[in-house]
Amino acid sequence: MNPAIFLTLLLSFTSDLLAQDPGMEAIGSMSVQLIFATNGDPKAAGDLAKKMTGAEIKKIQAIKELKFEAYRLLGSDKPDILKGYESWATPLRPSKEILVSFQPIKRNGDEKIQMVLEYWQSKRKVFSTNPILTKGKTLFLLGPEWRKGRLILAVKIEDLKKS
Amino acid sequence: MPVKNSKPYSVMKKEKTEELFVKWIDGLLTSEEEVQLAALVKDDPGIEAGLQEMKVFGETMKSEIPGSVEPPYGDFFNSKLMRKVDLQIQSQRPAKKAERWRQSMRWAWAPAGALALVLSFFAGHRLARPADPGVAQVEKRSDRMSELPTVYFTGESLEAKVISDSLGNVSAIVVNGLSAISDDIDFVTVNTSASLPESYESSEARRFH
Repeated sequence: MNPAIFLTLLLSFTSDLLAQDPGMEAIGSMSVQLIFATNGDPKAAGDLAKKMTGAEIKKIQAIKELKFEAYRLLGSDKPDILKGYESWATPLRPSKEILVSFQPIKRNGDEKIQMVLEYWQSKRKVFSTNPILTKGKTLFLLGPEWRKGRLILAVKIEDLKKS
Repeated sequence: MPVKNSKPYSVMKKEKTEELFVKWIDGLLTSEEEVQLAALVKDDPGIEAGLQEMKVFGETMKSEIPGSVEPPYGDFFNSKLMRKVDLQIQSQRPAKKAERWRQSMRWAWAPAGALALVLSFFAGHRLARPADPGVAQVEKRSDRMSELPTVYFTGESLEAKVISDSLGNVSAIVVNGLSAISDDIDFVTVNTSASLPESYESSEARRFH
């Protein structure tokens, strides 16, 4: 190959590589589910709410504070986890009534990440926390009351690239 | 001549009078200035009424304007600050530990020889004894504590309970005191008018465009 052409190609590739923001790299994905939990009639959640599997319900009921008679899945989202930027989950899309934002703070091995996790309701941030999340393990957040029940957010790292 | 000089004189007098008024309101009049102001009030009784009016206005302004003002976008500011603090703590922790260790060891260089002798004397006993289970438990507990998250609220009446599993990992956060979502709200159609942070719009744009 002509050295001049080779050099030109090399320079163009180098400039492309330098132009990419490393913070934008997707290092995995996060599953965010919004669940309606109630001791009353689960139909109150509306027609679009879905029934949950026995295994899913069992996992929630393992935590006594989250024990209710019925659960319905209101919506879910699975956005990427960006290495250095804040990402957002919109589980009730197209509604933006309840949102979750998250950003990695610290990677602990191949399976764990410490995140800043923020819960937004009616476009207003209500609380934030900094849990260490383990890939495949769900963190439940028991949220506000709604239609004689409570809303539960289930947050889980679905995929995580090796560090 | 008197006509020429009368205007500047009146302007000067007015400026001086205003200066005296301001000082009187702020309580900064000297005894000489108090005499001057008394003379002015004597000449024109309307001045006293004006002064009282200005004093009332000043007090009203003080009571209406707060001494301190909440910064705009306080939530956003707090979240960024919290993130910086987290990052700072994590980045400094090992360095601080090492620094503390160096500091604590500095005093020990001088009697190091004596200490070594004492340690060697007890070494046999220490090695022969099994590990102290109490110490191990404490270390394990402190590890677990460090893994539990902190919850930061933007409201005042909220409280959170962090629930961990048998391994010490956080499994649930129960937040109480949140205002209930109106039963009339249907999540499929609801759309509030408030705007979201720019990072939300950027995130959506990255995902769907």
